[in-house]
Amino acid sequence: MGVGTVELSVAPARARRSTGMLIGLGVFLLLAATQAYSISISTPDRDMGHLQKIMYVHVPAAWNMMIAYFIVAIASLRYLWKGREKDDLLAAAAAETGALMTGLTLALGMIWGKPTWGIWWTWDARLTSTAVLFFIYVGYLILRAFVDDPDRRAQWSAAVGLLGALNVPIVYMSVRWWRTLHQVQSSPSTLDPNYTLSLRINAIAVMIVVLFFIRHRYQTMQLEAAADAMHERIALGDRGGINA
Amino acid sequence: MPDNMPFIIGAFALTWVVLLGYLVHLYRARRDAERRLQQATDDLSGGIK
Repeated sequence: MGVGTVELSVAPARARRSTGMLIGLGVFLLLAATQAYSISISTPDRDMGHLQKIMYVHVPAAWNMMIAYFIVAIASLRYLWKGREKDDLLAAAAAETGALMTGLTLALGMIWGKPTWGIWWTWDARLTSTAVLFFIYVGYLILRAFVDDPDRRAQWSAAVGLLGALNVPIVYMSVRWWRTLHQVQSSPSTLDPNYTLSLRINAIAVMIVVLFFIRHRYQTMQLEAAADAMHERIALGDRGGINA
Repeated sequence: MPDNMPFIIGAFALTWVVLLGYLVHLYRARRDAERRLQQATDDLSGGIK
């Protein structure tokens, strides 16, 4: 397998970090603008009133966690097929961001659930399946932290990453299959057009944030892998032949 | 002010705390990785620049 073969130089990485900081600033300004626009134009919902505005953070977080796990699934499959380190690192970067967005989705759902349902948490099918998804990917990250051998870590991670991704369709369909407390998915036909536009632009802004996170984490993991590979060469007594 | 305003503010505030917190974590991790790579490069080249 190709683990431990990445070699990078520090100077270009620093230049990329500076560019990344500027891109990050732009990404977060975009998110602030879409949220401000949505809050300002949204009229109160007939049933929920202003609470409806939580939709602009909760639903984009949930949709984009699924995008992150889709990337985990594709990258894990590619790793198992081709054995390339970069696929393992991409899967790990997407899994970390996906776990973050899943945790955020759950927390925002609880904040929305308390005034709407009167409870912070219930063992509803959607909530439970999302919590299972969250713990699978927290387990994935713990697994990566505790396995030292890069090849074994990559193979086991790919297996867990794929297993976790299988849960994503279950999460998505849980509101239709079990019909418990959580409402079924809204669609443009069931949502006021006033809300649809706001939801879409917020979802796109959060997607850009998530893709930015994954890209940035992936680049950092490449640097870490390159440093580990060099330390291994040092430990083996190989010095020289490096272009700093 | 609607009764539910604390929940609305809480949801948006939490979102920003989580996303900005992770952004800070990413930049720190990146800086540490660059430092480790620089150190490894220096060690491997035996101090020759």
